[in-house]
Amino acid sequence: MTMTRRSRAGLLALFIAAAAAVTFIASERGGGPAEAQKLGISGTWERTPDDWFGEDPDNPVLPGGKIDLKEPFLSEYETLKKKQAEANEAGTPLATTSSKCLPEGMPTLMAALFPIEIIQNNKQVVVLGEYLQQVRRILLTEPMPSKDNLEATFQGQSRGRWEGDTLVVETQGIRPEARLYDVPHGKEMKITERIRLKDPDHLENQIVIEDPEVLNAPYRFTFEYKRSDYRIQEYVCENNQIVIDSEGKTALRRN
Amino acid sequence: MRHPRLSPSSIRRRLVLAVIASGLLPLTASAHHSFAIFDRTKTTAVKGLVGRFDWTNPHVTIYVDAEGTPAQRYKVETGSINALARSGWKSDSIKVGDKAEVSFHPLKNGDPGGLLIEIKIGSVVLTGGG
Repeated sequence: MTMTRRSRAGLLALFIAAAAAVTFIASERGGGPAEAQKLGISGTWERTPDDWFGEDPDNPVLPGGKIDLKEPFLSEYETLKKKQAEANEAGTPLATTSSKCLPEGMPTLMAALFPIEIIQNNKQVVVLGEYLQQVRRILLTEPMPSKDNLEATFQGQSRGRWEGDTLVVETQGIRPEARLYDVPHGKEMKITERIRLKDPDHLENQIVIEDPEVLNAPYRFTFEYKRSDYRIQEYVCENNQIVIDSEGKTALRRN
Repeated sequence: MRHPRLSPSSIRRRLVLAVIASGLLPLTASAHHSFAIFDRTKTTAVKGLVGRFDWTNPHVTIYVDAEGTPAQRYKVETGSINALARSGWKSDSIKVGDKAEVSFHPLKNGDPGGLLIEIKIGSVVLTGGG
């Protein structure tokens, strides 16, 4: 069968369109083929599988199973859990950073209760959390500040480097009240993340928490994410209806 | 031809209903505060007029003035703007003066209010979440 000039032209147009589409997808994912591996983590991500949070929002599942705490942190944590359970039963749950509209901080931001977005260039990888509009900067070209210059913040100081297709990030200097599911941590806690694409639409974050003051052994867990086409929206905590009494117990404002 | 009783907002509400019915509701947990202030083993239902609608974060809140003597205002909380918008809610999905049937998990402390299960306005049902 011979191809007419018109159909050849049509085929050429189709080819150009397909090439343009591939280029567009590549640029959406972060650039040319050489950088695709590194830039492929850009985008909006949501945790997977969908039931990761467990059944009871008041009793979230620790991502790495039971955590091996040293004394006196173990006793303090168990006392807190008991107090929380009693307060929950009474309908007056204890205040958390969230009930004050304070950021989740690290590593909870990466648990992605709400979607997160990763944006990057050669100098930094920025993680935006929809919940409370959190911003976390992972600097790629600067060393970690010395201990004396490490001021504690909710997201801490993060420094990252690429090891092949894996972004390795160390985070230190996290404020004591930024706790992963109420687990206490020490001043010297170090979080190491190994972030890599499992495939273009699935991201894996292997996390190790080292905290010799508080933990008997490093605590390990993995967060898995799926790519999302959701556009992250504004989240301003402008109308908090939670009131906190002198014992730290909460109630819904009456009016 | 457009049905004369369908206002633009009621058409929008029907769309909202369609979105929810299609099962696109994301199961986002509430991060802001504990659910323990509500008794999730109980359900309360009231009918009345929407007295106030706060399309705000951290939670969207609907105030319903229930029928009866004396009149009682119920404060019914639901999810964040972000989670509800993803399931089809809009800032004008509910309006002051709307006649509503609301079901919710009541506050444990007995105050009039709770956590939204669903609100029915005419033929439109909006489900709480997020």
